[in-house]
Amino acid sequence: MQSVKMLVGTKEAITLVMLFVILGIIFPIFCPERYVINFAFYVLLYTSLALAWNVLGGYVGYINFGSCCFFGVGAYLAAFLIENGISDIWMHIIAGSLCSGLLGLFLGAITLRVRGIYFAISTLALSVVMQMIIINTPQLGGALGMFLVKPHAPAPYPNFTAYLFSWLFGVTLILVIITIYIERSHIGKQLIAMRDDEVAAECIGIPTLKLKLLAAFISCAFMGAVGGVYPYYIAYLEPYTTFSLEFTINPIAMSIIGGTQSWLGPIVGGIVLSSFQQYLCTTISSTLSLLLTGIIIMGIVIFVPDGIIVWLRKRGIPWKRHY
Amino acid sequence: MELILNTIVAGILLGGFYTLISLGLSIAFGLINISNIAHPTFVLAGGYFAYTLYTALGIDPIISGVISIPLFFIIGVFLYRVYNVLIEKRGHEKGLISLVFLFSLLILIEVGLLMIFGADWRSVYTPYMVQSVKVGMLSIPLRMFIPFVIASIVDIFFYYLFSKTFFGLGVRAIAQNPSAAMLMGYNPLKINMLAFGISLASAALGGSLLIMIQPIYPFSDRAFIGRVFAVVVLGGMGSLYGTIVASIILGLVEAVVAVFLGASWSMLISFAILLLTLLLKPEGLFRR
Repeated sequence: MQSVKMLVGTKEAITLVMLFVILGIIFPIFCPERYVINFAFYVLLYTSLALAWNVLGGYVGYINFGSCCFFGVGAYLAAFLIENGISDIWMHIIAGSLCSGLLGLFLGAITLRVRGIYFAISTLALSVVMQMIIINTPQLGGALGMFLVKPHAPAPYPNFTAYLFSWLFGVTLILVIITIYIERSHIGKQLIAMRDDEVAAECIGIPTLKLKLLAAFISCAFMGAVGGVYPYYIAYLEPYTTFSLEFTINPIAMSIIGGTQSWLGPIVGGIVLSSFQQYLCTTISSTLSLLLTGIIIMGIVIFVPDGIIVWLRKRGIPWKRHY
Repeated sequence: MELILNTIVAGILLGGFYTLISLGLSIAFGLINISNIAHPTFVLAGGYFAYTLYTALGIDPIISGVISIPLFFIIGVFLYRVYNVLIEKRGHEKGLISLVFLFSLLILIEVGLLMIFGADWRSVYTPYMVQSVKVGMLSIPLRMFIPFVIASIVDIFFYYLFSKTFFGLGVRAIAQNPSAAMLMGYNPLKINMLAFGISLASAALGGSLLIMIQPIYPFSDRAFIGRVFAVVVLGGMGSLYGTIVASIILGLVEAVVAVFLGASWSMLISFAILLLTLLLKPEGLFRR
């Protein structure tokens, strides 16, 4: 076990704390306009989903086509808790992450032993099944959805979205720290070995299945945690938008755009693509933004399969390598 | 008794239809090694093709199915060529890139259909679709029976194609050992292009029959992804018999569940079958 200091230096730790204080607390409190904070929340939501997706998709190479499902489970669990009088956000986050994480672990335990394609198909099928279960459960609002009343924001915050932004920023920061830890510790090296050649990795004693399950748990749990913040933000939770294509395709697109090999990739991709999409949604239409996302993914796959960061690095722009 | 008998017949008819939409995937997935998650989307595209011909020219969906075969065959041939250049020659066919490529294809087709046809449910109407044949206690709706018959014809054709012809043997030989097959005078690229074309052509034919069975909307394919992959995995990838047997099993179970528990739960069946197969017998019932 390496010491924590070796994995995250003092300078970086100070940077992270400063980042949290400035962007996560001071920014939402003093944010002048409601639109700005909504925009920032939207970007952060997708960026954190992309980061979570990348833990399994990028590091291990098993593609999750059901991000919306794990996200939706967290969101619906939070909504269920709100309906039953539990309105603490930390409870929603923990409940959502545990529930989605266990769901991912269950699905992973069955499908991660065989070829990667089965995990992809199972998650794709699970998102349809989960949507159908929600539609057929009247206690969770069924097809009509649930209205959730936003409570008043606690003291220094101007509105509730700003308060949620702080929570989501905290969750994202924890996820960033975990992914940095994964990349720099022995786990990251084992994952790289596994991605290069799974049989060879197994032969030198890397517990491949355990690592895959760990990655699946972390990935799905954080999707659930992000989902736990969602119901109060959206205030009206219904199955068709919660399990919509956007939540499945955007995390994949963002990770692929930025590059799947390091934690920086999903963040860069997330910020770039979600700002672009938000711009398109407000100026043109959401269908067109979906179409453009599809075209962008295909373009990236064809022309820069390693993502922007690696592409820039090959052209001499000095991104620091972290692994 | 009457209900049970009718349910069983309905299940077999439904299963027959499932063979048609799964056989193409079984070839793509099991024999030429493309995990084509966009397969059900091509089925849907075939459905919309039939819908377009029906609304524009009043052509019967069966005839538009026949028209769609050469069209989608050419699309498939072209698509495999693109896939080969972009994915296989770069060595991406095993990893994340190939799946993401196919997934973005799925998205583009879905969103394209959404933009062209809108989010409404579309269906066609022909007089024979509402009729049914009564045999004793049984009542067989024609809108289920016709797809079953056509699917059976396609099954027989596929059996002949893949076990008797030079081409079919070539597809299976390349799946087993490409370099040995090349020594026997096969060109893997050409053979696989044709095979993928056939795969998409069968999907399109399935689509034009799908619109007879149920109305469609641009995201209907989602409901079939679980089903076709459950069938292909349960049957054993690339196995013709396996695909047929697994389709009938899935159709039967779905019909029974739809009658006794409610139709909305039938989606859960394919998912359960998929997971149980992966858990208990990941190689499927039959070998290719």
